[in-house]
Amino acid sequence: MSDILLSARKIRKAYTQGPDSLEILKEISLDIRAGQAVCIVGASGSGKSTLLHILGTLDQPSSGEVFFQNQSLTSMNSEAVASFRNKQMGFVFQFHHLLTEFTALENVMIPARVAGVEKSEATGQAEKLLRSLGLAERMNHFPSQLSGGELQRVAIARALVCKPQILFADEPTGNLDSLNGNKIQDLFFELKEKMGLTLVVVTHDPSFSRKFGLVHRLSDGRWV
Amino acid sequence: MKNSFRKFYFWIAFRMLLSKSSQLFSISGLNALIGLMLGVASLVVSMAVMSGFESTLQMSVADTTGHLQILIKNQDYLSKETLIEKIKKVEPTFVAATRFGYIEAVIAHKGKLSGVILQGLDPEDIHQTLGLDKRLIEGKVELQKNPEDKASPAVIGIGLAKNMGLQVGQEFRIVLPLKNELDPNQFRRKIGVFRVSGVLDMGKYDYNQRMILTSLETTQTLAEIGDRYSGLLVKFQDIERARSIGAAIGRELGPGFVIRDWHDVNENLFEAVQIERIAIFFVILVIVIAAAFNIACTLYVNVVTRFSEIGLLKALGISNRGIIQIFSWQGLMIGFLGLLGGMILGLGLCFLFGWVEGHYGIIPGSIYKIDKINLSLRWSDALAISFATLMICFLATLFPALRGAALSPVEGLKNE
Repeated sequence: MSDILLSARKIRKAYTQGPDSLEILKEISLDIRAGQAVCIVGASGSGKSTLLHILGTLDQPSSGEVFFQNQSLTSMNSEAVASFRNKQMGFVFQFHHLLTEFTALENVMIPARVAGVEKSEATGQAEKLLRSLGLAERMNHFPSQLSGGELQRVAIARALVCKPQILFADEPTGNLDSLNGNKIQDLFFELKEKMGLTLVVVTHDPSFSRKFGLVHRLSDGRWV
Repeated sequence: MKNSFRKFYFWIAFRMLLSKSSQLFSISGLNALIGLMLGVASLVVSMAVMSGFESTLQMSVADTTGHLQILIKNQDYLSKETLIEKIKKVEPTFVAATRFGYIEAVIAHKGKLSGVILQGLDPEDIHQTLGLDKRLIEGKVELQKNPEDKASPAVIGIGLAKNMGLQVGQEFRIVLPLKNELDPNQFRRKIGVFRVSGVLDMGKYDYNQRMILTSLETTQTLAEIGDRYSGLLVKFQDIERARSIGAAIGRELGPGFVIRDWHDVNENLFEAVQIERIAIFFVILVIVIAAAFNIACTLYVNVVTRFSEIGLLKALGISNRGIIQIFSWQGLMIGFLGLLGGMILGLGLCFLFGWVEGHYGIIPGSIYKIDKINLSLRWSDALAISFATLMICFLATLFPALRGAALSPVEGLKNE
């Protein structure tokens, strides 16, 4: 039990509009051990992204609790959750979500600066990461000047700059061609091994999910 | 660390505000900014006019009546030298003093009559005590009568010179009613002959219209009052300290004297100016408040169009407080831009006003009691305008900033 990094207990998520209620997640529980690579798959609308958002503290469940090393995340106040998320969790989304006004280097630096790292140190960390991801020549380019694969690699660098324990990825290759998609998929596993990350990925790509040792399937808000 | 955070949020706010997609560069954003600039410019001009009016008034009062008037209430008074000794003992910043005595009289020239105040001064002390020389338009400030001359030299205000058609070198008569010793119900007429030695712009309309300056000796002879005089006009090094100096001298001299500083001489006027200054500030501040509402709308649109970025920043760990700081910084930056633009525009308008007023004399002296205003913006006014503008802009940004902070990360991210 002690090596469980993240666990979800009876997570329920419902959206209510007037008399109608739409239940997206129906009492989902999950345990993720440190260093595991977990894949969540399911059809569109099955609730996999919603579950990832709740596990990553980006959204609140209607009921149920999420624990990180036995510490309840759902009972923390918003300031504490934000700080926790910044230091312990990294996110990669289907769309890169880079800030268009900032260069690749500046985008990667932002989480480190939020964590209180001094500018020079944050710059050094961001440069090192971008270099290791093959973006040494693209650091001072703006997102509009980068290709889809490069954008996603910058987003991965941004997710890793604070050395998180757990990396969440929501359809990280969903917006890429197969060549770039494959490269990014391999990169995730490479980084997992190199940095000792725990990986939680949501995908509907069977070729990607096959690479995971542990795959959870969601259907209509329940595990199948 | 906190300072580092502030810098970081400022950097994010600055970059996002100056991006091409920023609402600042939209029509509504530019309108809001221009509105703020105009509001600030209006405040700058109005405060500069009020300050200029006040300082012009202060200068004209000081130039013609000194920093302090010491009026002798009873006849058992001290000599000028003794009085000055007592003043110097209290206040070492004493510069100079002149005795003065005034009488109400009537000027007669070429069939025209007008009520005037004939003020006698010590000719040897006036240059050090008063600022008459710098107010001279024509002739010279000469009050000492030459024993061989029939007419006494006198300096008159420009308004009086124009009304009576008097020029330097011309003679005029002053008619004075004196009581008849034989019949207290009758007056006897006393006439003095004067020559215009100089024409002054005394800065104040009623001084220019009514004041005639001559030597104290001439006034005493004409009024048949022996060596009596009304009091002293005194100058110190710092006019702003006149009030406290006056109080100290009053305590030293005792109840036989009335001490009036330059402010007391025109108390009602100066107090009215102060009240008007405050009233105008708040009335014109309404323009800034209206402009701030436009800024609030612009920032609100900015927040709404940036839901995705706000969601992402929150996903990266920026707290609600951080989001509020980022958008508050943006409001303050817009406020600063408006303030800077408004200050430059306002000071430019002040300069233009000064130029137009200097060339065309646009202030009617008969209404405002002074003939011209030297516009000046005080540091305290500039600070008050800056503080009020930035504070209003900050408050205007709070609602949009709170809206941004209330957004959940996932709500923002889904907005892509």
